[in-house]
Amino acid sequence: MDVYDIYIEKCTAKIDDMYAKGRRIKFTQLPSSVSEIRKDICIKVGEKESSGVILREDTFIELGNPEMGSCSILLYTDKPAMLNDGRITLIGPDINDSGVNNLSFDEIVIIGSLHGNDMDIVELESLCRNKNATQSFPFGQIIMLGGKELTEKDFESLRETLIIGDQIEGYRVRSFSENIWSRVSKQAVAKGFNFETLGKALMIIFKTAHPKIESMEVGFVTTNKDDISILKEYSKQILKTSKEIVKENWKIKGYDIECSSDCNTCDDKPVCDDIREVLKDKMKKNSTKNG
Amino acid sequence: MINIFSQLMMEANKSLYGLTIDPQNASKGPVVLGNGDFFIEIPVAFGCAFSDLTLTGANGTALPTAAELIDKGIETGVGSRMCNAIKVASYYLEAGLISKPDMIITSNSCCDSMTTLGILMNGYKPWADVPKFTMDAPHSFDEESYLYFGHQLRNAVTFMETVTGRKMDWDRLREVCVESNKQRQLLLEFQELKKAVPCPTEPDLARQGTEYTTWTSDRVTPTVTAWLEQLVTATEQRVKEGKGIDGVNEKVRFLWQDLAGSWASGTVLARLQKELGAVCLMDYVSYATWTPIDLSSEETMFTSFGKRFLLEDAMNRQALHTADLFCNDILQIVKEFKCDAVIMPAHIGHRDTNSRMKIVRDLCREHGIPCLVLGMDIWDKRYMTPEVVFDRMKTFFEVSGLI
Repeated sequence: MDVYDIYIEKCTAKIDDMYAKGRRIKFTQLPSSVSEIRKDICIKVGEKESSGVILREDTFIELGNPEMGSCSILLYTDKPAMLNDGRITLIGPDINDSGVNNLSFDEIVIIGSLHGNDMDIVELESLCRNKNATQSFPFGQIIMLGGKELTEKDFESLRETLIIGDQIEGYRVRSFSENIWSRVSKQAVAKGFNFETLGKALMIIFKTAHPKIESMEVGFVTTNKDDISILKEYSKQILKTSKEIVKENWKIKGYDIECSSDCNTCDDKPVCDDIREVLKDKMKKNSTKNG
Repeated sequence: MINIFSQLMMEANKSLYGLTIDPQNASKGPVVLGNGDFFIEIPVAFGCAFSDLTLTGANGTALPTAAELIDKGIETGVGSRMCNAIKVASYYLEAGLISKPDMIITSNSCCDSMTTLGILMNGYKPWADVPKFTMDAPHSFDEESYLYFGHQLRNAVTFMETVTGRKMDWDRLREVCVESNKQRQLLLEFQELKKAVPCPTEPDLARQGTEYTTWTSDRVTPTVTAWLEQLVTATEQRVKEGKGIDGVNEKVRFLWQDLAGSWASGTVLARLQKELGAVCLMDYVSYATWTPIDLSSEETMFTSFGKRFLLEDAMNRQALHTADLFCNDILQIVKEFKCDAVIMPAHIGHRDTNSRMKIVRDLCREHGIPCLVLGMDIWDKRYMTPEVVFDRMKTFFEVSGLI
């Protein structure tokens, strides 16, 4: 299972490159075992641990509102050594480390899209410290998994684990077709919820659901739309690979999910057309007979 | 019980009545006739009426004369297993009951029945002189497809300009898209609120809200935005109070993986909710996955339109694409909205869905989700009556240990 290795290398290289260029990057190293991670997390993680809904007024921050930019990537490999197990990387501001969360939508979009470097964040922070509005970060999430026994057949179940539902207290992923759009509650932030917390929660969920996982890294990007766009470019390529895996997995089950037959392309269309004509005549005759 | 929600429902229903044949025929021109396959913000911004013949047919099946209309539709020669909404539309067309439009815009759309209706409209002899434009919708969902279909929609605008001799007001289109984005955000917000247990209000308001926003003559107007604001605010209040639907003791939450059609909501689903506490959380139309229209440039706007049309519009999402996407949506809804069961109405006209019954059964079995396949007609209650559907669902909930 090495089809994603090239993207794991690309994502890792991108992070290293940003770090080398002096971008604000925060690394956190967690222990490998789930029980150890659980010992040091400020919120509850598990089925039904989230109340179900985070109302607009209870929202501290939205992550990945599509107008801000959003991207979710899931990669895995059968070479666990490729990953630095337990590492969480944050590129950009954290949920609670500044007043950036209080930016107005326009300020983030205008300044964030013009430059997209650390100076923006400093500038934005100074602009918005006294503002009150709850707003949104662009949001990129990269989950990388390694396990000697992971194969293409694990794709669907790993993808399903991405449906977080009510498993993280104070965090809800809003239903969304391709990207990731979520909310963090004020209550959770008051308990200390930040990206490290989210990374821990994801590690608990994935490692618990899939004992085959031997190493796991999580990366978050919250800088600007441009950085998210780079991830989106990777994501497009990754999606193509994923589609091939899905197609093959369905073939194993006995289905060709890309069959594109319809009436207009069917060889038997003339036969159906003839039958339809016969039925039409029959109905006309019947309706004449019945007056 | 009269409350804010029933008032909102009445308001939306009043507007939805406008989709039946007489009000549609009374539309002020220029009139674009289509069959459920156009991007509605375009005609709204262009200042012309858009009449959707599929919807007119579907609404015909809600009239007291539904059975007669369906039977007359069969006499037009369309296949017996063709969707009955299309049969009624065919009858309206062939009987000369539809006012002559100023132009026709169709596409190879999400279901074979609708495509057939498009062919009938384009080949209808009395309208031989009506200008026609056909778009080509790819059956795929990726950036290239969105861009491709966005170009088709852009070409449709040029076609409209040529036919009417008017120019598209691009500022107006942008304004309409801003309003549309606002409305979709509110609908998504309402969808979020349905995750609460118990469900805070009639979940069917999501379907009605989508129809009100997309299909009625009030579409993309501030009236609808205000309606949605009221809906979300009132529902948030109920979530805060921990209240469920008035008069309903919620016991089962289920997904109805199809359209609700013209009769199921008011009969079977309402009765299930009231008598058994079985709440239908979601159907095709109410499942919202919209991305806001990207207003950065004309190109991004049309690419967004392409994406909305191909991947995010009700029924296009479920019918145009792979079984994998269909199954993934089911899992997503069940997990996110805490559904206890999946009902596959297996509408006889939805051959795409019917071809996936075994796949969905297998999926549900693998995941331990109770699943019932009905095999009904969502437009014609004679095929499987509301009583039979109710009894089958009741028995299913009982044997699954859900009630």
